[in-house]
Amino acid sequence: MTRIAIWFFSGVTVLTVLAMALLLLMQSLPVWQHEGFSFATGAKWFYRQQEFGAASMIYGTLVVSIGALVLATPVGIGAAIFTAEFLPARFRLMVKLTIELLAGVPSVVYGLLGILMLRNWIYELLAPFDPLSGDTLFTAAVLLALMILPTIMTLSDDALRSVPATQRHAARGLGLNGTEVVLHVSLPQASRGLFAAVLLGLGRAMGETIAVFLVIGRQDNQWPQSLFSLQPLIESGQTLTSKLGSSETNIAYGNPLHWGAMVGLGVILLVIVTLITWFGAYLQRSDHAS
Amino acid sequence: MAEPILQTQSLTVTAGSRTLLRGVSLSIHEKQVFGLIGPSGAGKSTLLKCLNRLLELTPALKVSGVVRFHGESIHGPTVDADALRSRIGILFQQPIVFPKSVFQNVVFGVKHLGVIQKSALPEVAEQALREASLWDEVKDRLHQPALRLSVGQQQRLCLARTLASQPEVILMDEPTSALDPKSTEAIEQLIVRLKKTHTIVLVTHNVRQARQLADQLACICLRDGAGEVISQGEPCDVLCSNCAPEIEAYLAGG
Ligand SMILES: Nc1ncnc2c1ncn2[C@@H]1O[C@H](COP(=O)(O)OP(=O)(O)O)[C@@H](O)[C@H]1O
Ligand SMILES: [Mg+2]
Repeated sequence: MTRIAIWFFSGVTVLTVLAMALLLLMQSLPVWQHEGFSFATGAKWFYRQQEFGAASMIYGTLVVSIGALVLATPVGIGAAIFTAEFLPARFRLMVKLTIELLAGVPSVVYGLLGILMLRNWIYELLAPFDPLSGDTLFTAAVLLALMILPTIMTLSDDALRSVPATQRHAARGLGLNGTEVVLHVSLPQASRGLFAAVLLGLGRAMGETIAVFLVIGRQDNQWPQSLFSLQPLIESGQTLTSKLGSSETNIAYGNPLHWGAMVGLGVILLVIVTLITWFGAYLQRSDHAS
Repeated sequence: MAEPILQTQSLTVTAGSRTLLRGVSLSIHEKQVFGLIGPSGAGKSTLLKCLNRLLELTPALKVSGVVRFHGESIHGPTVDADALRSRIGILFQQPIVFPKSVFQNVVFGVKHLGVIQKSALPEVAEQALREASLWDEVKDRLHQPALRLSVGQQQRLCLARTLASQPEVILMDEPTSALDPKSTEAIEQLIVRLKKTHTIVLVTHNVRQARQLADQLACICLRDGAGEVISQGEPCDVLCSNCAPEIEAYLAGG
């Protein structure tokens, strides 16, 4: 009975997702016919000239979300080590409730705070590098880092707490100190959960729209001179989501090619997020086998 | 008699307003098996964890009184609790192995003491496993997950892990209560062998085991809700003299 139910509901879920993906793919067909694969690799987007290349937005999405991850992961896991391993139980609950409250703050609020405080602060911080404004990829990355920090922290805390206390006790009984127990018992045994926490943070960062929209400057066609240059960080840019959130989406609706291009951005986002999730699941599984 | 290696004086443990152990004074001599018997909940495990300061990791419990190791208080300001725990090893009731290979488990503690070269670890592991009578059973699967071993083997693996850092004292908390008769016998034979080189504090529920293995014995029973040592001395004296009604009740029941 349960088996049938499980099959039924997983079947329904998979079919729904597939149907949605198919619908998006069909809708985006005109742009793939028009541009071919250079829709994904081309860096130029001029819709009046019917030229559609998503690369600069893919670049923006990757830079902003990976940047957010680089900022948020050490802080989030570090804070989780503190709450899970060193904080007395009663304080831990208090901190965790606060953190989970933060995770539930609507993202538009983060966006407004970003405009209010982060933009100017980053403009002054980056002054030596002479940025054009405070609306930069870096601003978006910092804001996203703040937004995914609670997620990473609370999930990492759960992962660390799920390591049995007896394991820590046994290690302490062998003469390891508190720090060594964290390094050699808690972190390794929680690594799968920690990895999942980071991955969920990444997923959230990639899909986040409105907060990024408000602070990234939404400058089209920003393509770096070198893929490893840090210069784009202090310039405005565009992510897949900030583009999709703009009024261009409404303008595009009447024109199959332009609409196809906008939906195509959604397809690309979906593919990237799916690949990352699969990659994560794969790493988790190979971790499990060892 | 020589100075005891471990000694407690009016050791008391409280959890908030509740007293778990009251006024425990024991003398444990070198290269002997010191047995501790008593009913469940009397505080035997608690007492054992006082002896290597493992109890400190449970912040709710407060310890007062003195514990001396080689005549010096283990709560002294210059004592490094982590170093102390590597000299006074502990074996729990349930074997707690790490989700790593057999080899990694054996060297887990000794690796972090920082006194042994990495290249010497295989030798240390072999010696510890031989001491724990486990070498012949695992020598072909040192690099397989330790969790695949039987429970009895896991308990000997935990013993080997403790032995690897060459402790002077080994605290054993009902080490055989989770094991089958054959593994129990293996551990009992080991205890007899190990006491030539180590001091062993053995908590046991098993009166036969206490009679057979212990050189000195103490019985902890509950009085007014707190564990107290109600008699100690030669095993036959403790077990035969019906001086206290609690022991009688305990022996009759268990
Ligand atoms: N962290 C703790 N907080 C409060 N009470 C505890 C704690 N740990 C153990 N106890 C209590 O201490 C008593 C003695 O426990 P224990 O030492 O495990 O007994 P034994 O090993 O003799 O069976 C028990 O009544 C137990 O409930
Ligand atoms: Mg016990």
